[in-house]
Amino acid sequence: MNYLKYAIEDFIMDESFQAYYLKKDQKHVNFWQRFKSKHPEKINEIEQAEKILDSLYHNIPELSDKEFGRELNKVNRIFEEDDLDLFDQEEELLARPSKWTLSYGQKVMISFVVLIAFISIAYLLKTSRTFNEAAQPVYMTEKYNPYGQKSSLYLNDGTFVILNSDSKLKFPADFYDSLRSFHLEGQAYFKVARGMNGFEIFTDHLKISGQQTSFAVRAYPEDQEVSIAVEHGRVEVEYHNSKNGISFVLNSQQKGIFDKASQSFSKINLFQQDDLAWKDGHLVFDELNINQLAMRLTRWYGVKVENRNYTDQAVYSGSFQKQSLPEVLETLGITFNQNGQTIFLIKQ
Amino acid sequence: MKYSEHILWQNFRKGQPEALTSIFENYYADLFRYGYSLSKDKEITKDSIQEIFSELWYKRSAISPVKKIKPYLLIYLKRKILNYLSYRILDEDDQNSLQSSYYETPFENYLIDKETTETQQELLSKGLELLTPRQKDILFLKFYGGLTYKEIATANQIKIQSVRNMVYESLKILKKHLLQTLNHLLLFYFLMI
Repeated sequence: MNYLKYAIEDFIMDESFQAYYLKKDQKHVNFWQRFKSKHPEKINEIEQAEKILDSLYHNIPELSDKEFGRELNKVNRIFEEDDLDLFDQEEELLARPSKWTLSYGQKVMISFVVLIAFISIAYLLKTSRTFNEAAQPVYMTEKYNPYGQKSSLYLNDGTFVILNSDSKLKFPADFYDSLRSFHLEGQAYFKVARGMNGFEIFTDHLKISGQQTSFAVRAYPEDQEVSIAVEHGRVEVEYHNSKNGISFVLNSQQKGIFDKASQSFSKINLFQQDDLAWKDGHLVFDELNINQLAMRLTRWYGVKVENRNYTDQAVYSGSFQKQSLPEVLETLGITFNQNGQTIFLIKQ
Repeated sequence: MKYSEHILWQNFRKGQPEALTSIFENYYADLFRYGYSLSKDKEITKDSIQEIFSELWYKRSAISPVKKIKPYLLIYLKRKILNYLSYRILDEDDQNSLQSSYYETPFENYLIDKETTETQQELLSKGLELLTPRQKDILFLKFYGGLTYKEIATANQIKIQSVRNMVYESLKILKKHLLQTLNHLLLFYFLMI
């Protein structure tokens, strides 16, 4: 084998090179590390080969030791079950020769015990069934994120949800045979998978439904408005307290705003950046007064931010990514003091 | 190595639990990678592997001796997963009800994944679309299943040289596609800065 004549494909093809790449064998790892330092003229090809292997393996998640341990335990449980089976068989074998003779009294006793056992099993089965039936319809899952925490959820119907901080989502523990019905308080992004059943989100005021769409809902209780920003697809919105059954359709790249006070609904064809940016980890806000800003920062960073003596005439806008809370405040020109767990905004 | 593999299988067939556990430990990583490349789903892959091991144990006395364990397990797993997936397409909602309602990943993972995965994953899957099913099949056995060329040849009853040729062809196609687009992306990235 003349490695000096190797092209990119040849390196990838080579089983020793593969063992080095996957760190499967120290011998091969050493060999290729030495080779690389001895032959800098081949570095380019080797790096390209590694890059292609990177993309091949990039799609496969690594299984942690903990996960592997769990799987190993499961396999070992196969043997436990098997032992039980063997035990039963042995019992049978012992019973069959019936070398022991039983007196009449003993036989009656045994029949009695067996009868009692049957009755109690039947009773247990009956009660456990009614218990299950009663428990089924009310089984809901609830997910709440405290301040400063977001989470991404993969639901078993294929739907993907990002739940923002200080937000609560309630949904059936099992989507089988039931409407995919959610209750949201706060902010969440939904990428709805196609399914046999409808998909609905209830906020305190609205019912939002759609199939194969993606959209973000903002419904914090203290906000004046509820907003729905549709990224893809088509979403129907209904004001569920109205008797006239007012409903609206929002299409891709449209945004609907429901005003709680006037109970009116408006549609706009323009997103604000912060409608969707939050789900990608960008802190974006547009023309917030100081108190709204303090609330937004409290939610985002999970640290209590309180306004002391700023007047709410000024408005603040900004777009941040991965900056710390002090950095954001400094950029906005807001002076502050830290006191224990709380940040006070104090104008100097 | 060959000797111990053979003995290991024999011991498992005789009903030694430790033998099956060793087989599990030795081949799990490759089985998982390969299963995931077919199913694109962690849970389906884990469940399918569990299922084949429990089936192996119950059918141990009827199982024939094999020279190579890994190709046997990989083909078994492939059949299991393809079977499961076709069943799932027929009855999607039934299958869903068997899993728990949701699973959660840390938000940071989602962000990191989003940054790197979106482009790389799309790139690779587009590249893989350029391959014939046969080429893909063999490429997966080689890189995700971790089989040797010889093992693939024996399992598919073709010559080693044909396996090598097929992998070489597939890599050439992938290389052209990946490197072109990756370099293009990189250039684009530098221009942005």
